[in-house]
Formats: sequence, C-alpha cells, structure tokens
Amino acid sequence: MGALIYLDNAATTLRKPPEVKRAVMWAMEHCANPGRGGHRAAELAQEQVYRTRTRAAHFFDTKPEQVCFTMNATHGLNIAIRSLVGPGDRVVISGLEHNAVTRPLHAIGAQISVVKAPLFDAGAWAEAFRAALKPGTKAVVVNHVSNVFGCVLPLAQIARMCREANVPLIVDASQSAGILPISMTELGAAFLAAPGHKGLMGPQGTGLLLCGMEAQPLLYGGTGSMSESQRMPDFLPDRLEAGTLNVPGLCGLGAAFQHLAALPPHSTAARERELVRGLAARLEAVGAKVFSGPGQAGVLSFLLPQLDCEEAAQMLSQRGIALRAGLHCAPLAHQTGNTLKTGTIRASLSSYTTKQELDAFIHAVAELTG
Amino acid sequence: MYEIYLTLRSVTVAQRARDVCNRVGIRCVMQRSPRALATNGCAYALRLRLADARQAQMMLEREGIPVKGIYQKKPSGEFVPWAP
Repeated sequence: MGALIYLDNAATTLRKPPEVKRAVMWAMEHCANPGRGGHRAAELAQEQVYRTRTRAAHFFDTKPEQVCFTMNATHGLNIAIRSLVGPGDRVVISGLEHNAVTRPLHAIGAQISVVKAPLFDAGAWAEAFRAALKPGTKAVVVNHVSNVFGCVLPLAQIARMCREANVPLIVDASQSAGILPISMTELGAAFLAAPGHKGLMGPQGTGLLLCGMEAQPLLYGGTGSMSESQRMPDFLPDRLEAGTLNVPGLCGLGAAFQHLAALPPHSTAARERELVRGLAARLEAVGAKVFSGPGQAGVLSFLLPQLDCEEAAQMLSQRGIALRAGLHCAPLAHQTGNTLKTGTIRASLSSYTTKQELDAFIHAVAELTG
Repeated sequence: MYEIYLTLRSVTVAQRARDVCNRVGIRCVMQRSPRALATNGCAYALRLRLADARQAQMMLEREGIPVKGIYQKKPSGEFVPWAP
C-alpha cells in the first residue's frame, strides 16, 4: 500500500503548512501562560496570542477584541446559541445544520423552524429563508457550506435579510473559513464560529468565535483580568476566554493565518471547485450515485451501488483512501438530502489534494464498482 | 524614566494601546499593573514618559481604547492620579 490518500479534510485537514508545526513546537518550548505572569515567558505567550488574534481579525475583517478563541467551532456555536436563544424562542435554521447547532437548540427547548430547498439551488435557499423569517424570530443559524454535500448557501443574501428584519444571524463557517471570503463587517452577523483545524489549516483544539454582539459566557473562571470581581468581565475577549488558552495551538493558528494571507485571493476555493466538479463526473462514470451541483465547495457525497456506505469506506480505507461515511454528525442534512437511511460516503478536499491522489481514488472506487 | 502608568482592563486592551502609542512614536512598556493600581483585581499598565502622557491619552481616546486610570509614580514610590 502506498502513501495515505487523505480525503477527509472536512473532518480536519491532516496536512498543514510546515510553519504551523514549527510554530507549535516553538511555543511548547517558549510560551508560558498569557495574561497571567509578568515574566518573559508569559510576555512571549501574550504576544503570540495577540498576533494570532490580530491576524484573525484582519483575515475576517473585524476588530481584535471581537475575536474570541474557542476549542473548536462547536464550542463557539454553543456560546452563540446560548447567548441568543431561550426556551420556546423561535429559531430559523437551514436544513443542512450540523449537530453542533441542532443539539444545543434541542437542549434549550427552542422552537426550531427548518428551511429546506433543493441542495444546490442558491436562489431557492434564499427564497425559502425569506419566507421563513417571520416576526418573532429570535435568531437565524446558517451553515455556510454543508459538511455533507458541499452546497454553499447564499450567505450574503441571508445576512442582508436578517439585517433588514433586525434578526441576529449566527454563521457556522466550519467548512468555509479559510476557503471562501468572509467579511464580518459586510455580513453584520451576530456571531460567526469557525474551527481552526479545517480550512484555516491550524491545529486541532483551536477555534474562533467572532462576536458582533454581546455574548454570554459558557465557562466561568480565571481570565487574568478584574480578578477581584466574581463576575466574568463584561468585555471581550476575556468574557468568553476563561482558563488557559491552547497557546501552542494558537501559535500554530497564527502561522496558518500568515500562510493563508499570502495565497492569491480565492485561489483555494476556485481550485477545490474545479477539482470537485471533475471528481463528481469521474465518480458518476464509474457507477457512483453522486450528489453534486453548481458552485459546490470541496465536499462531495456519493454512494456506491450494492454497497453499504460504511463498508465501502472501509474497503477504500484498505486501499489507502481516507474518507468518512455515515451521517457526518448532520442527520438533518441527510434528511434534507434524502440520504438519512443510507448515509453517504464523503470525500473532502484541501489545498494540498492533488490530481494524482484523485486519480488513485477513482481507480480504487472503480475496483469496487467493477 | 517611565513614570506615568496608564492602567487598562485586560492584556488585549493593553496590547492595542501599546500598538497605538508605538505607531505615533510614543515609547512605552507594557507590564502587569502594580497591585496598588489594580482596582477590581488584575490589570495591565502601559508605562511611558511624563512628556508623552497627554498625547497618549488623546490618541487612546481617539481610538476608542478605554483607559481605567492614569497615575504618576513619585520618587517615593507612591502613585498619584495624573491629569493634564
């Protein structure tokens, strides 16, 4: 078996820019706890964290204080949802939302209104959201790019509708951050949650919550500020950053932002779109049922005839292809796509995915469908 | 001698304030706020020269950076509130 062909980047990007690993290793040898002690190792940690925060702010067109570090996107989404939604509140969500959105809403006891539309019809999604935005809506939650099907929702239009209706918008940018352009200033969103370890190419254990409005802490504890008070600080980012941050991870994320900022604008998105388009056609040619459409991002679900999705993924794994099968922690998306019963096999690309890897992948699939 | 202390509520605010000062050529040192000045607990301070205090105050106000207090450290070690 040759080298691993990794096509599970929607779960996490395995191959990172080399400077990310170097930054993590450097931090583990030099950085103490930021915002606590006044010594050199604490100062180094402070500066690195601040550097990452300002790079993130620049990348997403917002202010550094509005960038709050989280463990992952799920953590950020929980903060955002719990800041806005109470029991019985009406919340509009897309039919593509991940359990990171639906589970907190269920736990709170929100009244959930699910918007559905043909997967790859952005216009239909926009109209469906318009119809769903009724008076009394407490919040809207939108998955920018589906982690199951790769369809891209018309975020700018939905954001405008929310602004016009004065309804706070929460964006799940788990599959779009680092790939599609995002401006917090233009969106005017209440919150945007992103993982550091997928399209942003940082280490696992990092994430961002960009805050356009006041947030309620999920965790209470030490912040290195106003410590005589028994209340969490009423200012960001401290309000949402209790406890020790993942400093090595954030150093790596800072290096990742620097890497991303140096890439030609939109290059990753354009490349992934082109690769996915070609991949979809080739999978269909070898007998797969493929879920694809216009404007699709680098995530592609498919099914193989006569093969259970998990078994197929296992067989492909034995051939050196890393994919994810099943429901992808997004049963709602599978309901919307009519794949709840079967699940799907998902291939997801990154900027490091090569055409040769995709050739080998197709070859392996053809062996199964042969 | 950096005898002026601007106290700020958090490390992030202090870092922003430092960057603003540096941008206009005001030399300053960021450090944890002396305990005597840290009302409400832990805070950070920017230390700078008396001659730069007024300009720093104006710049930070213009940038919307909240300053908790401005103090001058006397030769005796005592901190007294400073005003332009």
